[in-house]
Amino acid sequence: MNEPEVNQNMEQKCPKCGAPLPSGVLAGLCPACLLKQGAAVDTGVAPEAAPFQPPSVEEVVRLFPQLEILGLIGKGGMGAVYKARQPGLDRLVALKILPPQTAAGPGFVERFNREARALARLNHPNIVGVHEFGQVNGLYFFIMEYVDGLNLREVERAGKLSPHEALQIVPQICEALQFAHDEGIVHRDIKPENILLDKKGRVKIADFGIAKILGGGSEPELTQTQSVVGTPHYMAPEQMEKPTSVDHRADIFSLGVVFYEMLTGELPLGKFAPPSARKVEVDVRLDDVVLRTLERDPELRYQHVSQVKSAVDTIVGTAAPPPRAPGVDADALARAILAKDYQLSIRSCVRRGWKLVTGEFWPFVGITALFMALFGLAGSIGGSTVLHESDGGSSVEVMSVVAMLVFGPLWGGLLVYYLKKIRREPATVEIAFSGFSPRFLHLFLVGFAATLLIGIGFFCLVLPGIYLSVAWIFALPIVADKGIDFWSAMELSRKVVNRHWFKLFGFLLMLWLLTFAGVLALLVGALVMFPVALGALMYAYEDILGSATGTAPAPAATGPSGTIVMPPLSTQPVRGGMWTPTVKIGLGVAAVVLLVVIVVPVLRHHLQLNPTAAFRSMTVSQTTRVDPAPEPLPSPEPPTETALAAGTSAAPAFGPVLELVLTNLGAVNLVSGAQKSLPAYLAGQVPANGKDMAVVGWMEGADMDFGYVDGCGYSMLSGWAHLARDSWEGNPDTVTAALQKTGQDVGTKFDGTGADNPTNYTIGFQTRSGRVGLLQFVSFPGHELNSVPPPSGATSVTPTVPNVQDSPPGVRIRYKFIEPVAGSAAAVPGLTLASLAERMEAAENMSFGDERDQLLAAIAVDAGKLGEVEMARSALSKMNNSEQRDAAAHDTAMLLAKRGLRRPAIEMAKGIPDTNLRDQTLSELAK
Amino acid sequence: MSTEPTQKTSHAGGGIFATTHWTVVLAAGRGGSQQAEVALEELCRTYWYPLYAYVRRHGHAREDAEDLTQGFFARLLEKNYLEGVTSERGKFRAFLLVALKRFMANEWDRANRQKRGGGVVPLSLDWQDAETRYQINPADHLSPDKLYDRAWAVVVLERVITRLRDEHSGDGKGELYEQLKSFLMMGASEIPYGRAATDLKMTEGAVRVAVHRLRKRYREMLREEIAQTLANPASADEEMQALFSALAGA
Repeated sequence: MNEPEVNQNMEQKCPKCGAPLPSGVLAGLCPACLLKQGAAVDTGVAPEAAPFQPPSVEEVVRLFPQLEILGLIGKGGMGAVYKARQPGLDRLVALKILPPQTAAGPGFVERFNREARALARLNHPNIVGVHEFGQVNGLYFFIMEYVDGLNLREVERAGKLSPHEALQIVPQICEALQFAHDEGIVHRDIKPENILLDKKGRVKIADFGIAKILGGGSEPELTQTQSVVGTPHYMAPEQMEKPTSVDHRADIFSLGVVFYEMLTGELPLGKFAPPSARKVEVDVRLDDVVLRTLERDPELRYQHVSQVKSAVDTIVGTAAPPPRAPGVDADALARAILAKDYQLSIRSCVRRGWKLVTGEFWPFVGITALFMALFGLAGSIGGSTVLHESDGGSSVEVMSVVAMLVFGPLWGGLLVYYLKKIRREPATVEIAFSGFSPRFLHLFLVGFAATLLIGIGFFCLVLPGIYLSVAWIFALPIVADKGIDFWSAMELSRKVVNRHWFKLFGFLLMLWLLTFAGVLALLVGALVMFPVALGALMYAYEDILGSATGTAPAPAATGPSGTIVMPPLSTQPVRGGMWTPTVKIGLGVAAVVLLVVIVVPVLRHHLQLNPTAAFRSMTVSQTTRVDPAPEPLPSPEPPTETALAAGTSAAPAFGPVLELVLTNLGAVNLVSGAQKSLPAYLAGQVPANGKDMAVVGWMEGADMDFGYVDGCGYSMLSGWAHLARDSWEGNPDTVTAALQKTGQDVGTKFDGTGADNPTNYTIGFQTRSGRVGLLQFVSFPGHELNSVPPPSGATSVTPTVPNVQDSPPGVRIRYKFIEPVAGSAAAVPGLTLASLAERMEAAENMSFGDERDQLLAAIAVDAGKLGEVEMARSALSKMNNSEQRDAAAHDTAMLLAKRGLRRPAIEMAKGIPDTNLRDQTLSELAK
Repeated sequence: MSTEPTQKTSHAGGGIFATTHWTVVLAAGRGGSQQAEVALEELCRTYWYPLYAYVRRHGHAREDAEDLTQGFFARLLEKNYLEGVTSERGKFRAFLLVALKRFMANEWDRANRQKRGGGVVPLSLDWQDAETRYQINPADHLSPDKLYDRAWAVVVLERVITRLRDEHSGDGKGELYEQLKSFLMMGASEIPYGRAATDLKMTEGAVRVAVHRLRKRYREMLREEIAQTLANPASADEEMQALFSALAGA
């Protein structure tokens, strides 16, 4: 012991910590060290308990002169076992020496004697016999039968135990146990290590009653190392709770554990599956036997080991039943599930989901994130190929093909992963990908069908979509988990959900909110909240659906921990094989839809077929020119060159007359003659540069027909005027003047009769690109009008309109543009809209400053030269410096006016903030 | 000093129904009850020495210290001091010191050396012993506060050791205790089991078991003792730490 230093002065110091030592009560004790040890946290069972050190062989030889000691076989908390020989009888024996510290306990000697005598009475071929017992030199010992073989643990480890062999072993164990129980002896420590198998295959149970000897009667405190008082895994529940009051039924429990382990290789812990579910080779009938031995309540177990033996013998004796019918009966499943109502506790599910994910954070988050990435990848791969259209395209928005294919299997597998984790079964990443192997077909079908129908539901009226998306929320997990076909799964899901549709709707809303909250929280939160939402959903699934199967109901057994034994997870294929009629139908529908979705837009793109027949279709049949001058159809760009060629006068003049016969209701580009179908127009698929377009059409009315020219809406014509019919021959200036006056910006519809007959008018129009022109409805082919061409000078003519009884098939229009002033834009070669756009982009990318403004000003001015009002406006708006901007606006306005685009010019001028400059510009323009 | 184990604590993790002396006193509050009086008296009887040491270190001569301490206790036991000191109510140790300081600052009149409380001092304290202890106490360099804490820690340990000893003597294991008690201050790995086994003529296993039991009991008692002075027995760890640092920091 550490002696404290004693100094001359009475001050003493602790040799360990140097703190001064007091005298008096604490003499010899250092308070600091004392307190330190006092504050240390005790770790329960005495860690200082030394492992049992068996006496050396020499010592044993010395102590047991009557034996020939051959060596140490094994040691543990129960003592040490030596192989020995009794020379007199010439037989091999096992010498077991108990740990000495056990001898120190109270009442040991009596216990020892009592138990040893009882053991000596156990004379049975399956029980290791006891020849002698006693104590020598303070060491207590047994001399026992020597078993030449292995113990069950070793056999299991070597992998040499088949279920068949297990069924040979168990009855022998039962016999031994029953014999002992009849003698009033309980083993209390049945475990594989205590079950010996000799070379002849005979079972010998060892260490009977040792537990009682060593464990002592009343002392609950574990003063020894753990292995003495039974191995926890094999102990019956009542043995753990009230060790003193166990009876022989505890042995039955331990036997059950051993049995289970023999059959499956695993211990029945927590929620465990019946042996036949674990290992296919195990006879199903054994499940009942094993589970009954593992009942928590001793009253529910077999009451005698002999009963276990009879049961096992019966099973072994009779032939095994045919292997379980594959597949799950969907109807039985549905009936089972729908038979009872369910409670859905949203908060509980969310909480459990949270616990689940935070419990194993990285697996869940990681795998879910991986799947999200995969799905996104799938979506982008397919999408880029399907929707690759230049202008317009299919108006039916589709998921990419790849995404549709993988949706079901991908998410189905992931949900199974979650389920397995919830059920505390092993789950790996492979499980998450399990959707891709056997169940692929059905998962794909359910994913596809559900998505398709939900999509249609949304498209129709939204509400059906919402209903279906909630109703089919469980369809995918049902297919993945229960293994029924996709349509039954969807039906089942729908029926189950229907019971409490609103509640589930609220639940899903809550989950969506959770995930969305995660998204708000820096997006990363979504990676956490989404798994939580999935976990919560799967908990709900388990609560509502999980415990039912379509197979024979599993025995309502409880495992050692008192939890319900889970019925087997069925992963069998659908009953009746793969190709049931439903599957065929489903596949057929899927194929058709896919075909439609992929092929049709491609076709349409090439053939420009009008998919909708709701409107009267009119196709462009011809484009003819009335004007004798054989000019080529002008290009979409402002025809600067042709203007040069055609017009030589500096004054504005009309260009060539263009005629169109339209049988296709739609949008017409008046400059290029190109047409866009009405649906495309309605869908907004008119390209942004469709500034020269008008909607010209001919529609059936109630009892009359009318045609209309509609410039409203989507970057269409910007100005209209009803002019007298004979102004067709008039001066271009009158047109512009008229347009200025009316200032209309909306289209005009014409009635079919009387004064409003479109054929009575000449329509003056201005496109948004600034082209001004005149348009006339010439006739309605099929309904020839007796229109009398107006004589010159006549103000108006009213043509006679025939009584129109049926719809004319088309309309013929003619129009002509006021050509731009020559020389203004052509002087700058290469000045095109495209180049302007490029320059604009370059300018936008520059940093703010004078240079940028100058560039933009130049662009505006050039745009004005080209007559590109929009471009000019855009350039001006991007300028920073107000002075420069106003100046540029002024210049641009003047240029526009020169081109004949007076109205845009005036509007631009009006937009100048500087009042002086504005007035000045306006006055100039007025000239 | 009284060594009766006066615990009413369920020491298993500071259970819900733990009543320590101090909680009793606090709960009684101003109204005071017989129980509270007894509890307070018990506490004072145990822990008066640290106060004395504080006063002495504060610079007062022996007689003054005596007088002061007595006066303080008289005052304390008149139950006036339990009001007003709210922040230290968690720990009796802290409370006592604060109360003493207040007393010293405000009330004690040096010139007035009459014993208060009508001449009857409820606590009979062994001044001589205290003075001797103080003299022996070598920590000259400590401030009064630190000395107080230190003395407190020592008192606690003394109580525990005494109780432990008495308990073992009562069970007839007095000799065993004497032999093993020094193991209480060693770390688990430092304990010389082998030698002890030889000395005690016991098997090593038995020695281990006995030592383990002793240490366990010691810890339990220590916690109990400390918990008695706390309003919240669960904060015993914290208090232990504080005491340890008072002892260790030299």
